[in-house]
Amino acid sequence: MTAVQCPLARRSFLAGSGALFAWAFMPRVASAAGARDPRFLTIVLRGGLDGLSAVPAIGDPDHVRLRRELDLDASAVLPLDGFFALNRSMGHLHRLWLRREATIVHAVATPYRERSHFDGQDVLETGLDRAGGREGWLARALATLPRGERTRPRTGLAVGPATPLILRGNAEIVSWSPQAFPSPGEDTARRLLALYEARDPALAAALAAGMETGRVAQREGVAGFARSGGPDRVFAEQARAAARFMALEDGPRVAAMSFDGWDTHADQGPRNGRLARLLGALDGAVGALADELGPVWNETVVAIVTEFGRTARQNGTEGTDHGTGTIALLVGGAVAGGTDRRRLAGPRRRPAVRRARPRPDAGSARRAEGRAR
Amino acid sequence: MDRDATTALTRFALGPRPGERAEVARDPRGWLLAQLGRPADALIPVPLPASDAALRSFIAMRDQDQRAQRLDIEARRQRQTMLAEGPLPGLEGQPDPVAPGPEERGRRLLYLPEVEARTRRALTTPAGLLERLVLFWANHFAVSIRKGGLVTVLIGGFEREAIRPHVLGRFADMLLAVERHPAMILYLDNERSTGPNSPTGRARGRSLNENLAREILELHTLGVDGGYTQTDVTSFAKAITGWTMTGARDADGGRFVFRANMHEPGAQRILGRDYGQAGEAQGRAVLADLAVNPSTARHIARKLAAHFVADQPPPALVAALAESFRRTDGDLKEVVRTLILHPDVWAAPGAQAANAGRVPDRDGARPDAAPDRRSDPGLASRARTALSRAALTEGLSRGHGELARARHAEGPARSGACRRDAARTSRGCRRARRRSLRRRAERRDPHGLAAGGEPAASRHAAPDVARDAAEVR
Repeated sequence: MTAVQCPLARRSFLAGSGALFAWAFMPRVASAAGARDPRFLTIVLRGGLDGLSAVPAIGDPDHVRLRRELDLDASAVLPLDGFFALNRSMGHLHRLWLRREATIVHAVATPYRERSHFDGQDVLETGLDRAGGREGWLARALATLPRGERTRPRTGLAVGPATPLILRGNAEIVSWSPQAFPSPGEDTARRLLALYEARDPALAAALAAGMETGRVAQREGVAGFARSGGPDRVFAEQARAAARFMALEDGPRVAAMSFDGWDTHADQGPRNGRLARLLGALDGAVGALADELGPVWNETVVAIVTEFGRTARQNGTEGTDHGTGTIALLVGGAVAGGTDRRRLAGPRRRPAVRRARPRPDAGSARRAEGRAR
Repeated sequence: MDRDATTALTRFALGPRPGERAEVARDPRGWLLAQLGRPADALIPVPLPASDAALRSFIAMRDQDQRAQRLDIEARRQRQTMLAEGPLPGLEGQPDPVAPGPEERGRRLLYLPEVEARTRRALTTPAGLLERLVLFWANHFAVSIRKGGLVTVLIGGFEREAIRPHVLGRFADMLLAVERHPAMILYLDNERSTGPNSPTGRARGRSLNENLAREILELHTLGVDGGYTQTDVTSFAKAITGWTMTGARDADGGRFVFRANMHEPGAQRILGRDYGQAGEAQGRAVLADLAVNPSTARHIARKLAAHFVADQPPPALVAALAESFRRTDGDLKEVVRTLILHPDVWAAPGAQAANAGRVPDRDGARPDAAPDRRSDPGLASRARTALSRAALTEGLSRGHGELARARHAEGPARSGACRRDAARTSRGCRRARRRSLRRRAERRDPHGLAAGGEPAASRHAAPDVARDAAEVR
């Protein structure tokens, strides 16, 4: 963090550059000692995570019957409460859960009951009860945060190639994505900026904002990385980048990112295959977040959500088709306040859910994931 | 007049080739309509392998690699036994990190030449409208290299075989060609979908995969609000069980085949209609009906209007396109004619820019100045960054309703390609960039003189445009 010897000059520079990471240059009064300074990151898993592969109901006899090849026995899981268990690929999550820094919520779904990825993601991200909205609920929340003179930065951060719908709308957003190309020299960038300023102020502001983000990223060691590598690398690196921005004294406090690839119609592979790798990659991202947020991890909540779950019954190609209920994860040092963070809310254990969907005759696995076809 | 030329070139085509603007300005609508009479201009005649041949050679490559690996492991094992030492590193059969694996070789040998060919086509074609239609339909029937090696080596052939021959033909024909193409069958997991009561299903306990059926209904034909239910999805999935491809190791491998043994017997009721046909005819009959369903007409009309005019297109235009689609049972040439002749298209502000602008050749030479150059790896790699992301990499799960419609424009925003102004999304930002690029292009060559007059100037200016075009994506 640079000193603030010449605020006037600084301010005029900011005005000229679009003041993107303005907080990075503000005096530190923004975070008064002792005040809470919470962080919130949402990770959207696109494609529909199979909750019963991530958190299988091993205690449910229906599980084996419906899952067949996709069943996970005791050797493929980490123990939770005896009834549910955690996929073995998720060691970091398990560690956090044991430390009471993770809540696993089973049998959740948005109000959406059809099975389109696109509409399902719309509902998940807009918080509305039907598809078609154009504003994300996180953006709406962000826009209502009080600003105050001790500016709590309320610019949202989107990490990844496209700003997810959840952060689109009437809120200030900055986005950052790892670079696939070598950076242009500072001189080239300035010339481009001059060109844009002369021809297209909107574009110039966008470029200035991006350059500023890039500078902060460089200063804070948020390294860009080659786009190659499997999902494990990409997930973890993007999470690490988000964490480094959010850990900054005056960095963003609300962020969102998304991971693709959860639409496992065929050869789902919850034990050693594709889904195991994806879950491991997500777990690596969780680990990276806990690492990088370090001292502020206690003030952090990470919500991990997906548009819908998958059928409890496996389909004809060792995968699962689109379903309804699935899991949601809340991870972070600030999770669950003073309550029992180990609670694993499942349909059997959660009266609210049972009241909502009284199906005493069906097995929990089936209830957990909505009706199989 | 000049504005109409701009509309014709940017809303409907890929921007002007050098010298083209003057020609277009004489009769912008006529320039577009004339392209409707030349469907062959949408084909790519260069010799590229058919997709089944591509698949076979890829599988052969992979098999060969595995054999070599096994031999290698065996050799090491023997050496190890002889030396009676501890395990050698790499014994697990990791491929040599230096030599490219079969996936990478498949990509280089079978995928990049396709990208290069379509890039060169985009640069040189006199029929920019047809190329835009190819991009539109390739996006509508999206398959993605993210699915893995098999789809990667098939994807170029998919576009050449299932999309290009039909952009001015009947929608029903394109639909059938697409859904029977191995690239689509693999991409949406139909290759092993088996009727639970079919001989194979009974013998091996195999069953359905409903992915392809669902996406045909939701994405390819009726649209998500097109009036189908989960029961329709399941019944349709049964109707297309057995739609698979021949084994990639067979002599005629990698082609569509209907396997009766996998097909669910009996009639299926879909959208209130009973389909009692036997075998492949059942699925074909469903597709034929879907292709002319009024919901399909609306869905396609809305997407076309959004692609060519605006995210929220004029309702009158959508209605006119849908009506044209219905009246002609999906004659795409007539639908496009309706689009070209509709006044709203020429009146609407801010043309949606060409989503695959012309990327100048290396060192800025006009690409059409060296038509006989066989290969330019540099072009392929620039195309990879500038173009392939547009139509070939986007997967299904990326989508939002909005992004699904805009997938052609989707691509990695660069750091710096975004803005904090909330009113404008990163898409808006990309569009702003495109507008600026277009202005720059026109500024550089305001009268379309470059073809005759100023090679030096175009050589100087071109690399910037290439870079910016890459950024736009």
